[in-house]
Amino acid sequence: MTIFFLMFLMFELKRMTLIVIILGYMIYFYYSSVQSKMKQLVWIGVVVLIAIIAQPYYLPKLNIRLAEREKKFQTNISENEARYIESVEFWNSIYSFKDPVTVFFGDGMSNYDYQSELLGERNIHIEYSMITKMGGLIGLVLYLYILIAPFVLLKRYFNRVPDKEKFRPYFVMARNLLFLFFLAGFSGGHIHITFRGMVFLFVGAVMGVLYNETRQYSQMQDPQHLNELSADNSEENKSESIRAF
Amino acid sequence: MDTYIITFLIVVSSIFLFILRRKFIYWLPVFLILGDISASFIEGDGLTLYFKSLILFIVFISVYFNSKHRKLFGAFTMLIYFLFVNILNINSYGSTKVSSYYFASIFLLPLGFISFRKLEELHLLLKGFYWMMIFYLINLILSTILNIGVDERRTQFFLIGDLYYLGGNTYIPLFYSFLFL
Repeated sequence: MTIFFLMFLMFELKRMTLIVIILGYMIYFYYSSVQSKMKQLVWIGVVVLIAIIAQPYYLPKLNIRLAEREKKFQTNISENEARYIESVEFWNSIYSFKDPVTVFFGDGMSNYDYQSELLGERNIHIEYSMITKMGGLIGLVLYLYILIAPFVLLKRYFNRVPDKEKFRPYFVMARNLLFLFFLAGFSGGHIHITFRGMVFLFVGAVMGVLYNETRQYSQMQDPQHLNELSADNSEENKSESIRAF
Repeated sequence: MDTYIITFLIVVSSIFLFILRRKFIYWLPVFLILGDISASFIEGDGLTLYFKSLILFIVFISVYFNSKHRKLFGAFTMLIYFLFVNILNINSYGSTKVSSYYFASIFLLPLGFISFRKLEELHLLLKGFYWMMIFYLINLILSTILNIGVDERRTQFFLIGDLYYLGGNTYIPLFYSFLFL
């Protein structure tokens, strides 16, 4: 099913989709163990094989899609794109500091529409521009903090975990998700609670597991805790020996 | 209005499940998606999402104050700030809609942190995500067959419509969790 979804996503031919899929996978592949890399290569082979066999079905439609999206892939098109124009205009207005209160504190959570000189009134698409429009630069800093803090803490917890290989895929995945989440924010469309919820819930869960693992390990290393354990064991041994007796 | 009530009931039942047994939290994504699916069949899904967000907020608060971990990444700094900004615009429908997205999603970070302690529990969450994707697939197929809830501009490619309700590029990172874990 993953392959199925992945192929559909690829065939969407959206630039950010392709960037995120390829970049995300490269990061994951780089951090994978040798055994996992071999396994992944086999799966890549399977996907390529399916793609070749299924060519007659999707190729005509893919060509139509490609013709529709062709202009989007041209390098000089960005200057004519609404999101590009919107961003340049918006950030110029921020840098101009005409209204410092709005620059720092934003226009309020309801005001994510932007009155563009060239495009007219429209929703701001780029995630970070939208946050700045609503919550100002302070809001943006706080929002970025929410993304950066787990990224740093994940690494800290992972470094303390004794069995790193066991937890490595989860650690890489959580950091990858955060990074890709940040990256995809430049394309926008991040307001859906379900998607945001999945990312944050998964990252939080991985952090929780790593934290718990490090805590257990540090407790095991604590001499006082070890003494308590040995005392418990000796009590157990004693009671067992009494029972045996 | 029925959809709102259904969504509300789904979310409330998920909370009860959560309260009853902590391990049921892995069903949370499934409940979320069920809510989204019901919302996708009507216009203006803001209120439905608002309900979900509100309920998630309540779940978070209840878990948070029963937890030892009270200094989580400044999540509350974020909450207070956005709450403050939001109060200034409380009369606006848009304000509750957009801010609820941010509230709810960010709260899930500490919620995940508190709720998951073992690798086996994390696997359960991934299982929940997996079922979530199946629900999405069913939703895509059904909405295309019934011609409901799918944007016509986006049905030009393939027969099952478009991945618009998968969120286009937004849902991609999720796939890595299925692919590699």
